Amino acid sequence: MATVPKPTQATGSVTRQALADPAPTPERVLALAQAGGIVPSDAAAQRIANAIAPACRAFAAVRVDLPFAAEPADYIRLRDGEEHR
Amino acid sequence: MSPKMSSTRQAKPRPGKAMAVAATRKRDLTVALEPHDWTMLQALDALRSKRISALELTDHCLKRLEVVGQRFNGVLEIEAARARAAARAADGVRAKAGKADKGLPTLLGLPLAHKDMFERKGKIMSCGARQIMPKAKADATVLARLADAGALYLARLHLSEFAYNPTGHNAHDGPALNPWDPARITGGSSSGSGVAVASRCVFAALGSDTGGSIRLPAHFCGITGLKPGWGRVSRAGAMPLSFSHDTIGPLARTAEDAALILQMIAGYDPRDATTGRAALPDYLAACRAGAKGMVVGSALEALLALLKRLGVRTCKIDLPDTAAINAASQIVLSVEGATAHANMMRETPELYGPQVRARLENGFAYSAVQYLEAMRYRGVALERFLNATQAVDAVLAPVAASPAPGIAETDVGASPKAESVIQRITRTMRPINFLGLPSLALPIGFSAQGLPIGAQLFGRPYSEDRLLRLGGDIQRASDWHLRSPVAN
Repeated sequence: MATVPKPTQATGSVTRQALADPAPTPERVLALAQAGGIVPSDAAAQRIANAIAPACRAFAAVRVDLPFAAEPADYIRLRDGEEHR
Repeated sequence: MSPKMSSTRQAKPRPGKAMAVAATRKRDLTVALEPHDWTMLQALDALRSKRISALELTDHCLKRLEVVGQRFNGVLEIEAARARAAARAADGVRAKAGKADKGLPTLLGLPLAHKDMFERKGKIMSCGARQIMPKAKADATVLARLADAGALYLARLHLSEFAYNPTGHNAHDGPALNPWDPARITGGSSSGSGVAVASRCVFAALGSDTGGSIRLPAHFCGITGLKPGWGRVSRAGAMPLSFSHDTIGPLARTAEDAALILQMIAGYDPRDATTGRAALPDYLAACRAGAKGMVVGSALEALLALLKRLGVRTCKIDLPDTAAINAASQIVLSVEGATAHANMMRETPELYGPQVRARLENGFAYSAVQYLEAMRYRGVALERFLNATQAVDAVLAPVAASPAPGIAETDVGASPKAESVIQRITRTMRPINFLGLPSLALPIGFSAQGLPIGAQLFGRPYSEDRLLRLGGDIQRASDWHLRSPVAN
């Protein structure tokens, strides 16, 4: 009987770190902002990177554990389940 | 303007005497108090019993808006002629009905004024900004519902630029000044609504709450603010900031007043696909039902003794993931704000004040993956919250970490410390917006400096009636909400 290889789990800290977003550098900020159609100055890009870094870090702690099938509409289903509580 | 005005009355709390004081005030009310000291329900009773006409009451409120409201920079424009004409019409309707006035609109002849971010047919809302919005093609649903209920519109009120600031600063219109101490902030972004209600210019005012903009002015100005759950009140015709966070609700003097306004504006609206179809409870009846037997989880000790006296059971509660929820909320709000403003940010960024422009720029720097992961997380986080609150009717929590801070110390513009100042003020606000929960902010005492302090009761989706039940009972047993910052 052929053996089915077990899926490997991404449990190592290095893998988890890799799943998390890289720190928002000014270069990354500039690229994203330009893609959105605005052009911040270099100083502004640095300011933005500093401003959003705490939220990126804090959210990275939970994003790695998001269920595979989670989707935004789950929120509406759960909210409306409360209508008749 | 002197920082401490001579007319400012800063009553200190008198623990243990709250119930007696409230009872005394109730007995004396219609004899001793001026019309602006009435609660909204008392004003409506006076209109119904013809002790005052809508025109007289409107003139009284217009005068207060001119003198008091403008002193605290809470008013953008007073619409006296239009309001007086509407008041005369309301008086005509009431006179024609004679004694058979049962079928008259609930708020007939009631003077109100609102944060200037709701569309009115043929008019331009300022949004507290320099950009010129197009003329509105229809009234915002909330204003249409208030007008159908007979309410009058007296003035457009101050707000933070595009409702995107929690302090009440506005780079174009200047800061709104706290009626308890004009050197301090009102909280924002519903700053003018906070001023107008706290300084007794109008009986209630609409605000919006995307990250605390109803609850913060309620806390800092010593009034009651009700942030409905997401989907309970239509946002059609209201200025958007973050479509998954935006809510609209009343600021008023009492929970009962807020309950009646909510009754008038809540419910399904085909113009707003996020509104739920659940039947509306009788919010005023809920507010009067008494809180005995309810269970409140608390992260705040100050109110526990009073709640226990009212027959409410309390317990400690640990809410999951608040740091992550705050972070996700910041991502979602930033990106949705940037999206709503994308065209104006591309074409006329120079028209924004420095802080709002900087905050909108932040929203362009998150990736689509980050935004959608935060939105995927919303359901996960709500489910965890629902599991954590299975056994309670509401959760009691602070609104902000301190009473109103100074205007100068919070005037941070786009400086590097701006984001941390904003995060500090809104820390206990945003999780509730991200989860779309209803929250009732109400006064619970005063600081040693005589500044009002509020607390918030928040609960599961569609539990506004339970929050009002608690709030009504708390206010029947206390007088914090009856204290006024401005002498007659």
